[in-house]
Amino acid sequence: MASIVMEGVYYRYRGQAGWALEDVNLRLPWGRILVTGSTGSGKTTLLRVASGAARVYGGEVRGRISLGGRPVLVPQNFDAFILMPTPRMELVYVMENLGLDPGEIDARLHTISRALGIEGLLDRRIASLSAGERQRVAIASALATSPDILMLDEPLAYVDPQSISRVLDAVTMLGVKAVIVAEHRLHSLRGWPSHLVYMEEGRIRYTGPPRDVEGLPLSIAIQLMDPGDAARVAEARGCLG
Amino acid sequence: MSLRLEDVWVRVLQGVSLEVSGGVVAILGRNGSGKTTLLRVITGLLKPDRGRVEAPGRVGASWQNPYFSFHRQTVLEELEEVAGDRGYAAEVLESYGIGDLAYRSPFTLSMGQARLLSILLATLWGPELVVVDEPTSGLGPGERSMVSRLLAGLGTTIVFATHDLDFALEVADRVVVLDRGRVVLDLPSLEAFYGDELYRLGFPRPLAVEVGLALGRVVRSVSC
Repeated sequence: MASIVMEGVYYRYRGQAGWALEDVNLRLPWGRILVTGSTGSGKTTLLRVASGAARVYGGEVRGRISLGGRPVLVPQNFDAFILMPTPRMELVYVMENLGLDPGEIDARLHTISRALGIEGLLDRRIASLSAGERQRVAIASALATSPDILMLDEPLAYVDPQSISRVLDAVTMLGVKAVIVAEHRLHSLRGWPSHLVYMEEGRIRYTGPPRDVEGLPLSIAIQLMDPGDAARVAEARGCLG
Repeated sequence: MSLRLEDVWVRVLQGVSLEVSGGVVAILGRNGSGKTTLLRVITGLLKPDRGRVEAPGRVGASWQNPYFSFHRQTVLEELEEVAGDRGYAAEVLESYGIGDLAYRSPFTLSMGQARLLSILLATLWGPELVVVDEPTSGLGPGERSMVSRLLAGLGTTIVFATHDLDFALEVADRVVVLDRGRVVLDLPSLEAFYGDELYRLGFPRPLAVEVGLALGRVVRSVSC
């Protein structure tokens, strides 16, 4: 069973002539999935369409999408994701809406906040937190909904590179079965993904194991190589500055 | 130009002292370490509870949310207001290859385009010092190199906060690390990136440094 299957999927935003996704055929396994590609390649749109968030934007979807579990997407503009004035109120609110009982809410609040390293921030005003702290609160809030599939759009935009592996490990430990990260900063994620998807102009150009880097553009591949290989390739191709 | 902070305490900052007389300075640190607070003190937006700040009179700033810098109908009008001359504003846009954005509303720009415009607005009026908070967040690789070219070419003193280590290595002359509101490292950039102390603080090695170490020489950027 796959986490997400997309067959012949097309999507265009409302009022746009061109397709933002074109003929997407994708079978994503469970595990740690990295979706990469340059700005405008369709990474964000892919997550929006797969998670169902694209409905918010209107537009037109064609093709077949099936999900192996419940998804949640933490968008790039994660501030729109946080509704309450403090992290504690935010997480409690989300879990109350799921109908969890107070004991369960308390236990889960504790587990999630400790795993994401935000236990010291729980009673601070959201507005007083730094962007990186708010982004972690948004991820915690997504986790509070107990998703099977967690999608993170550019988590490295604000979460510092020292913390990203802790955050991603925490997510897996909290019972999420598929973590799908859209990023173009790959170096600090080297070694993390079990599956890699590369996009260009709204199409899937590569889907498979991250080790099999042939066929990827060099700018992407070099970030996933071992330092020795990266050095050899960078020197041979004149990439050094 | 001289910027001098002496034993500054406010919010998360706990006795920060810093002197900058020129160049490009990168402020590094984990989420919540005080990077943005420090920039707010430098620009005078935040007064210290304790300590002294001497900053130049003309400080330009580009903040994390670039859209907060905008208030005009078009990109060209934004630039014209700051540069004082429409022709020059149009030239600047052309020179960064974004002349086609001139008549767009700044609020419809992509994050990368908005970031670039916000930095241009912070610099075009001739400030003595420019501060930039997270210059590369939300940027794709192409936009990122545009911003690094912009910052490198300014010739003005720049203090920027980032957790993009590759970017810091590429453009900064000096690296200052904040940890829980204190300065824990202050070194010339190459010494910081090619020494041990930065990594003892838990920072990961940038790709360029790994490549440089493998080749046995200094590499500041890898772009294929």
